[in-house]
Formats: sequence, structure tokens, C-alpha cells
Amino acid sequence: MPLIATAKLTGTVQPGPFSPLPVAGEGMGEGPGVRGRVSGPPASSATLTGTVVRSLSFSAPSIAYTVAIKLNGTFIPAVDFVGPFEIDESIDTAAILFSFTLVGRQYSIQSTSTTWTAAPVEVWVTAGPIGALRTWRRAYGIVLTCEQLEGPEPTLRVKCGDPTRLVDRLELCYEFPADAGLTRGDICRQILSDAGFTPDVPSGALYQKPLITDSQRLWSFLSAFGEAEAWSWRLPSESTDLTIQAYTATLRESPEPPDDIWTLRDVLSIESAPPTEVPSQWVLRSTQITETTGGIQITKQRVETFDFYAIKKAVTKQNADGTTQTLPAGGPEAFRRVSLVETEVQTQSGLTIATITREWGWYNPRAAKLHTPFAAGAPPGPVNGYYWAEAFLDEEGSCRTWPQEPWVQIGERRELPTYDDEGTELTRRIETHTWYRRAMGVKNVGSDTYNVLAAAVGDDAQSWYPFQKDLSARLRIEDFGLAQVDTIEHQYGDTGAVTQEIQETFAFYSQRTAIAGVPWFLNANGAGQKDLVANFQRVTRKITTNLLTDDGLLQGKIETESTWHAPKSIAGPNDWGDSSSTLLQEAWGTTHTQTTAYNILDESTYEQLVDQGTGAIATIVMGRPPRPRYRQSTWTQLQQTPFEIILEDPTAAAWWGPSAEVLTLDYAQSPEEALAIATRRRSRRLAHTHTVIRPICATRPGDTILLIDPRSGINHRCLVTRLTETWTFTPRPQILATYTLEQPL
Amino acid sequence: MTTTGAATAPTLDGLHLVGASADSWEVVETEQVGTIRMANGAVREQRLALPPSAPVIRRWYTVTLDYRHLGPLAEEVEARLAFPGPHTLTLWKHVTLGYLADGNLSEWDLPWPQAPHRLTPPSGAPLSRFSPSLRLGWGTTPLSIAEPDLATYSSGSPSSNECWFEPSGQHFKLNAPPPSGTRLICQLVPLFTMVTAAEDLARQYRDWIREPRRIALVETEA
Repeated sequence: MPLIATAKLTGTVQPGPFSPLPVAGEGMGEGPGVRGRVSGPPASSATLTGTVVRSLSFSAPSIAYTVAIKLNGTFIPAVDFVGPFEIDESIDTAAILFSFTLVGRQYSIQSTSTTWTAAPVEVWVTAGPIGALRTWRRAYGIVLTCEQLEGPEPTLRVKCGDPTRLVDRLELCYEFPADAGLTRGDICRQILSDAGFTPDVPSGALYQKPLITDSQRLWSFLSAFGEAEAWSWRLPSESTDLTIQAYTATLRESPEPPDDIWTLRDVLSIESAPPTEVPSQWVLRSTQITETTGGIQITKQRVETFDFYAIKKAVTKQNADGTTQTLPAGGPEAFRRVSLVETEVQTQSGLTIATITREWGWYNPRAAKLHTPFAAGAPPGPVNGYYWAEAFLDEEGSCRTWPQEPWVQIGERRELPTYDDEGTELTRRIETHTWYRRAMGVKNVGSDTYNVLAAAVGDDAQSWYPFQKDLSARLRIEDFGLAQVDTIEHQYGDTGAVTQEIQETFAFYSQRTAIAGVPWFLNANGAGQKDLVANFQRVTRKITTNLLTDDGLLQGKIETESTWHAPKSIAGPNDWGDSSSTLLQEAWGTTHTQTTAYNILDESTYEQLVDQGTGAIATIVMGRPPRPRYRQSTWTQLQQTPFEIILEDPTAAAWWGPSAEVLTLDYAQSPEEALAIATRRRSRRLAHTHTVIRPICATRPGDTILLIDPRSGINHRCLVTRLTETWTFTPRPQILATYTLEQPL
Repeated sequence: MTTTGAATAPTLDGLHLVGASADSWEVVETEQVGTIRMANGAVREQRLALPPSAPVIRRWYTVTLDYRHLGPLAEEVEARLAFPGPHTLTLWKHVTLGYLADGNLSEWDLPWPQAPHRLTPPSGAPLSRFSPSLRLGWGTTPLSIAEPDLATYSSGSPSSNECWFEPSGQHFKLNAPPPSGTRLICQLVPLFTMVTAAEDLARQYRDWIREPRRIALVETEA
């Protein structure tokens, strides 16, 4: 028995002319509502005399029905509509799918595209007792596709969907940072508005987790994202502006009345199925935002390598007078530690602030083979003016400082990035500590003698700064310390991509010079050098300028390298020893420029054009062109902690045996939300399902029905979860609806 | 049927079938209606809803004629059935239609043209015998009927208690809309538009030397 009325009336009453009931079939005035006449000023005491219109259950003994199809803006003739009109809707999807059959050559897929492309379609239905027929729009949307059958005239089963189907395959590309201050409703509203819909979505909870929707389909995302709020999605049938509504499909409990009461006089049949195979254990997995610790975290890793190794020992000792003496042979190889690498990573708030790698091993620093006089006025030495230095010679004849290799630190690399407030890396400084040498002159340009005192000459015939002088004449020309610094600076543009990258290298270096007519120094190898001892200074600078598209992708890049350089010139006035130049000393300038362009050929191939100033060289490269570095998102610093909840259901275990179901709930932001989702899912699984066939009525998925069947003892409220209507007219009219009702235990 | 006077032979595509025995004609009326049985045992009727200006029940006709009763007409009938439909057929019998007034309409549609408008009855039968009639409600006196020319029908209006039928058309009208719910009972002699039934047994021969047994014609939309 249908209820007389259950309504929540809201609205504004304004005095005005009589609003007649709309004529059947004209516009959208057919839905439930209140219409009437307002009379009597003033407005505060106006009287509304009207009629409450609600959709009836069409329970008269004789009901007449008909369907009219409006395809691509035109009502098709009734004789062309032959088959059943079917419509399917559910609380689990926003999709309303419907189909009907047409016959006629003009609908053939060869003749028209309206039966298989997204042509607008409306289905208007008329039903009611003769003399009290009502007409309303039952479905509207677009044609999806059709199935065409052969025959003298083609018969087409046209399959349609509501307007949401047009964006069914739309893949989202949204990124919402964590703590953006947006509620679930705000996020859904933004996504729906961008997709061309009018959102009717409640606010919901504040969403604190970061959200990336890459490659997710619109409706499946909304369905999963709104599950924590128990939202179902629908396009109300009376909607004219593509309003998408998020509503909560829950059972209306007493004392609220149900939406309708169905007894045996209202239904044709009731088929019932009990719940089965309900999991006894629900495992819920998700992540939640947690506070990041403010202190520095240091992670150290130490790798020691052991192997058979014989410590290298000098085979000969060179004395200060040039004589040599053979030394006893070294020991045998033994299984011992040969290297030790220690890596230290310092992080703070999820960012790496330092990475330090230290390495130890067996190493004997180099020593001088010769040296310039130690004291001013000393006579020239016996070896081309040099004096013998004391050194230990290894098997290869290299001069070493000590008789045998000691266990020493041989390297250290310190990588120190700096960040802005959002965690974007601005600069990176790489310090390299190793055994290094500093070039040193042996005499002034033009001097006949080696007037630089105590300069060391290595076994490579170059002169070096002696870091240490042992005994009388043993000069160590290598020292462990800061040998090189590399700095990288990133500059970001509006798109968030790096526009320019500046890389500089600092090392011990002295500019080279001419070897005559200048006031500087000569190295032992005959080359001119500006400083007596090489200074720690910038030696190269490389600027990479990215050519970006409007959306921040890399189109190409220009690389410019600068360093100390003196162009050679055959007729140059200045003698540099091995060449001539117009310059007296090296000047800082650009030495190399390279332009690279990337042309995308297809999705897996691109062309790389490299121009070093001598014409572009094209190369076809498989893969995707390189991407620039991008600015960091703020929320990547936030910590998400995974959590897992196990929900035991001893009842289900006793009834159906143990079984587990794992729910990965990406959009649940707290254990409470995950628990609520699981409870709802469990409640739906633990429900009797009734499949009710009955004449069509106004009940829709999401409504609550009190179902009464004395034969089987059903007298319970049920939630309508699915509706399938079939309007068949041949050979006999049969207009029936199949409802799926869930009765929670 | 309220057609008065002696039985009149049917007319197929303008051929009066005089002499064909009246008891050899079988007429079947079909309407779009189905029934469903509710769980409590009650039966509900589901029928096709027609526009407000159409009769509330539209019946479709199937006419079957026993071939053996055609006699000398067989050759002419064969000549007509040698072509595909539609064929016009009238049985010169009145058919009753019901309309339900909605308070707005004063003009309604007829499913068929009227046979007297297109054909001359056979055997000199008077036309007045086949004129239409209209009553407002059960057990009432029929309204006076007029069939003015098309110009008068289109521009004029009948007086009260009078009904105008469109000449050689498929409409009739009153001078004002009757109150909503009023039952209009209309009777007329229809001129059916027929095609040969797909399951026609007319062309089924028992053997080569026999004539076919029956001709089955089904109504189609004009």
C-alpha cells in the first residue's frame, strides 16, 4: 500500500499568479512537489492553496503505458520503436544505462551515425490509468553504441547511457597537496566542475593526506574517494544542468517512515537469498599523516672488504746523494682488510641534508725525486741544477714518502644540498677530499738558476709544493685534504621546472703563462705558471640553460663552458714553450658551447640534434626525451605512516568458516574512517537479498522499503540497491521492474 | 454491429464480393493488452497508452476469407492479390470506438477513413445506412450528425448537440470540450488497409489441381 505522503518541505513562498499544473509531457514539471496558488497580501500571511504531487505506485487494476524516444532532437515515429526499453540503475554507480530497439533502414549504421555515436537521446514514458496518464522523462543521455541485426530492414539494439558516460574514460590529472585546507567535498566539486558537471556535494571531512589522481578514471575515483563519507553518486533524472549529486544511501530507521510499503498485492514475486561466504577477518590497510620529527637523523653504513693482499713495500731507497740501496723484500700476501667505506646520510624532516662517504685503504703518498736548493745562494745541484731528494721507490719506480703503505684515509666526499622552505633543492655543494698536489714553480721567468727554494720535482718531471720535509731531503708532495669543490645551483621558472643550472668546479690551479718576458714562474716541466704555488680557485663553470615548453617540458638546452684558456696562435708574439699565443697569461672565457634540441617523433622515439658550433648532428634515440628537474612539492616532506587494522568477526567465522579479505583503502585518512568503511561493507555483505519483480513505481535505488510477505515471514525494512525496468510492448505489453533489496541482519 | 438493413457484401480493392457467402468470412480483433498476476493472486491489466485524441482501445483486424466461396470472383481477387499491399477492405459493418474526454479536447481522431466516403455500397444499398454516430455516455441518445464540406469543417463549429465528421478525413468534433471523464461512443464503417498475413495459408495448396483454401488479410497502418 503506497504511503500518502512523506516529504520534507523547504522553500520560499512568494505572492504571485496561479501556477497551474504543467501539461503532461511539457518540461520538467512532472516530478513530485508542491504546486498551487498563493493568495492574500501581505506576504507574511500569504495562503498557499495547492496540490501535493507525488509519484504514485500505479496500483490501479488497469494501467496503460507507452514510450516515446527522442533521438538527436527528434521524436522517432512509434512504428520504428519495436523492442523493449530497458533501464538499469544502482546505488553503486552513477551510471544509468538504458537501451531500446529500433527498426528501419534510416537507423542503419551505414546511413546515420546517431545510432552509434554520442547523439543526445531522451526517453519519455507515459503511464497511469486511462484518463489519468502521467508523462515524464524516464532517461536521458547519449547513445553509446548499438547492435545491428540483419534483415529486410535492420533492427538495432541501441545502447545508451546518462551524460556521465561521456566522460567515463576520462583520466584525471590532479594533485592536491597535504593540508591544503580542502574537504572531500571541495575536492570532488573541483573535479566535477572541471569535467563540466554541476556538483551537488556536501562538504565532508577535511582531507589532510596528499592526493594524486594520475591515470584514475573519474567515476571510479569518486566512488572510492567518497566511500569514507558513504557517498553514492547519481545524476537526478529531473536534472537539466548536469547536476551530479552525492547522497547517502542508508536504511531509514524507525520512527522515520519508510519510503514505501510493499505487500503481496504490490509485487509479482519475491526471490530471497541469504548472505553467504562473508569474510570472518577484515584486514584494512591505509596510511595516515604523522608528525615528522624535527631533529637530524644520521644513518651510517660501513662496508669492509677483505681479500688476499700484500702490503706494497719500497724495493729501493734513493738517498740524498743520489745513491740507491736495495731494501728487504716485502711480506707475503695475507687475508686482510683491503678497503673500508663508510657512508653517512644525515636527514632532517624527510630531506637529505648531507651525504658523506669516507674511504680508507693502503696508500703511500708520492714524494719528490729532486728538489731545488734549500738555501739561497747554494750552488746548482748535480742533476741539471737540481738536488737529489730522499725517497722510497716502489716496484714501478714511483717515488714514495714512506718505506711501505700505511692504512690511511684515501678519500672523503661530502655532498651538501641546500633547500628552500618548500624543500626544493636550490644548491648542491660537493667537497672532495683526497691526496692532492699543488703545482709549484722552480724559478722566475728569465732566471738562470732555480731561484725558488725547496720546490719539489716529482718523478713525472713536474714541480710540486712540498707539504712536508722529513729528515734532510725527503719531500712529501701529496697531502690529504680538500682537493676539489663542485657547486651546482638550480634556478626554477614559473612552471616549476629548472630554467638554468650553474655548475662550478674549484681546485688547486695556477693559470699558465708565456715563458718569456713575463714576471711569473716556470714549472720544472718548462711551462709557465702565474702563481708560485697553485691556489685554490675556480677552474670551470658550466651553465646549462633549459629551453622549456609552456608546460615545463624540455625542448632543448644550451650548455656553455668557461675556463682558463689562452688561444693558440702560430704567429703569436708570446712564446709558451709548446706553442705561441697573443696572450701573456690564460684568461677566463668561454671555451665550449653546445646546443641540443629534442624533437619528439613518436611516443617512443625522439630526435636529438646536437650542435657544437659546427652544424647540428641528428641522432634518433629510442625512449622519451629527458625531463628537467622540477620544484619540489611541499607535501613530499610530510610523513605518511602505514597502518593496518584487523577486524575479527567470530559470527561469520562460526557460520561460514574462516576467511580473510584485505581492503586497501587509499583514501581513508585515519583508522576510524577505515573502520567505518569496513563496517559498512560488512553490513552490506551480511544482508538478505530480495529480488522483487513488480509493476513499475516511483521507488529508486537508495530508498527504504518495508517489505511484507506473510508466506515467508518477511516484515522488514530493506534498502533498494538496484533497479532494472523493462518496458516490453510486443507481443503483449509487459512493463515490469526488478528491484534488488538488501535487508541487513 | 448496428448496421441496419440487409447484409452487404464486402468490398476488396473496389471489388464488391457479391455472391461470396457471408458465413465464409472470419474476423479477428486484436488489441495491445497483457495481464500480470500479482503475488496475492489478483490480475492487473497492462495496455498500450494511446494519445488523448485516439480511442482508448485500438483494435487491429484480421480477416480470413474461404477461397472456395469466391466462385467467379476468384479471378478478379487473384488479380488484386498479385500485387503487394496495402489493399483496402470494408466489411460494410459498423465498428464501435470509445473515447475519454479530458476536458480540453473537442476534436478526436478516427483510426480509419470511413468506407462510405470512398466507396459506393454494392447492390444499391443506401449510404445513410452506413453513416457514423456519436453518443456522450452510455444509454444516451446519439447526437445529430453532419458531414459538411472540408472548408466548413475546418473553419466552422458545430452547434451544441451536434457532431461533425470530417468529410473523407479521419476526425470528428463537437462544439465544446465535454467535461473531463465523459465517455464518447463512436460508431462508423471503417475502410481497412490490409496486407496479406505472413502466416497466410491462402497460398497453401493441398495438391496441384486444387485452389488455395483461405485468404488471410491483416490490418496495417494507413
